[in-house]
Amino acid sequence: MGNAIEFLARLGQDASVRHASDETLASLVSEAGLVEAMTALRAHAEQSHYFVGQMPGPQPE
Amino acid sequence: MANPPDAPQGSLVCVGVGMTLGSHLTPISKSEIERADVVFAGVSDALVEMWLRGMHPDVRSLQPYYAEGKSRRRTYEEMVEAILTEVRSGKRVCGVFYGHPGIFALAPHRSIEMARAEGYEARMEPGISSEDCLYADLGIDPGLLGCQHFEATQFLLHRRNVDPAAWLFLWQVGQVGDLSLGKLGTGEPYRQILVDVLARHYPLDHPVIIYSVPTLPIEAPSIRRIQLADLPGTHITTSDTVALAPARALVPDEEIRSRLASLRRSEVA
Repeated sequence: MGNAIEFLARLGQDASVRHASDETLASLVSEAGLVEAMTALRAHAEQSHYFVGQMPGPQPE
Repeated sequence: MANPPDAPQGSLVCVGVGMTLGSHLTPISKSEIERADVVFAGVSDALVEMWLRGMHPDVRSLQPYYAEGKSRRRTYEEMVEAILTEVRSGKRVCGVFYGHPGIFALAPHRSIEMARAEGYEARMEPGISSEDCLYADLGIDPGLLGCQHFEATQFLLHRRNVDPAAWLFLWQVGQVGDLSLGKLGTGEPYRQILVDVLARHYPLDHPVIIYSVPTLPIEAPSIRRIQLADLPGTHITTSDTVALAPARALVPDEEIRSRLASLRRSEVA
């Protein structure tokens, strides 16, 4: 999955593809030979639910 | 900058990776991650954490500190202690947090405060926050009409002076009203109370935007438009922010305008 993460990181910093259509992105993934890796990556992300809050809420009074 | 000669050796810097993988990491934050001895990761999802692991061989996730039913206050205290333990052992520590490490983030502020109090060098590097992305994706300029930001539960618990002529942004609505601080999300009855409070200032058909930033560069921002009355029955995640557009026009302050005009006239004369 490391290759897929590197691919995503490159995508995130490439203005020519960052906001590309779903079709273009699918084509890029296919050309990079990462279809299976991306599927595995998405499955991993869905299984590993992360809690994102960093603020506990109001102080006790 | 090196520690002063008499300062303890450990150090701490808290940085933000921004919201979207690959797009938002600043050069200075990347450099801090790479030169650290130990990296602690409080990020938004498993893929961002994997990305971080590609930048440093010793990345320690802060995610295991969360648990359903456990007070988030205790969770954040344990995060701070884990970070400070490494600083005290003389390590150069980097705390990496999603978004901006100083916005709606207790552990980074507290860690830096405690490290400094104990004589260690500690500071923060800003990151691109959810708020920054919101302005870009929703096309809102906070300077135009002004805006107010509140943590949703705090907003419920206190009588705030809401200005309906400005934008109103409510954060952490997914956990609104959780007084136990241990729930990973609250439901419809809690959001109904929020709507009842908002209805003091806005009509029930007032437009509401529910916004969240994509964490992956292959995703688009989530922008849902509903009416205020529909907020309780709408699925809200912990990543969602609720935005209410201004409900009325700005009211001119004629007295102040007159004083400023007098000043201007006296300067011209």
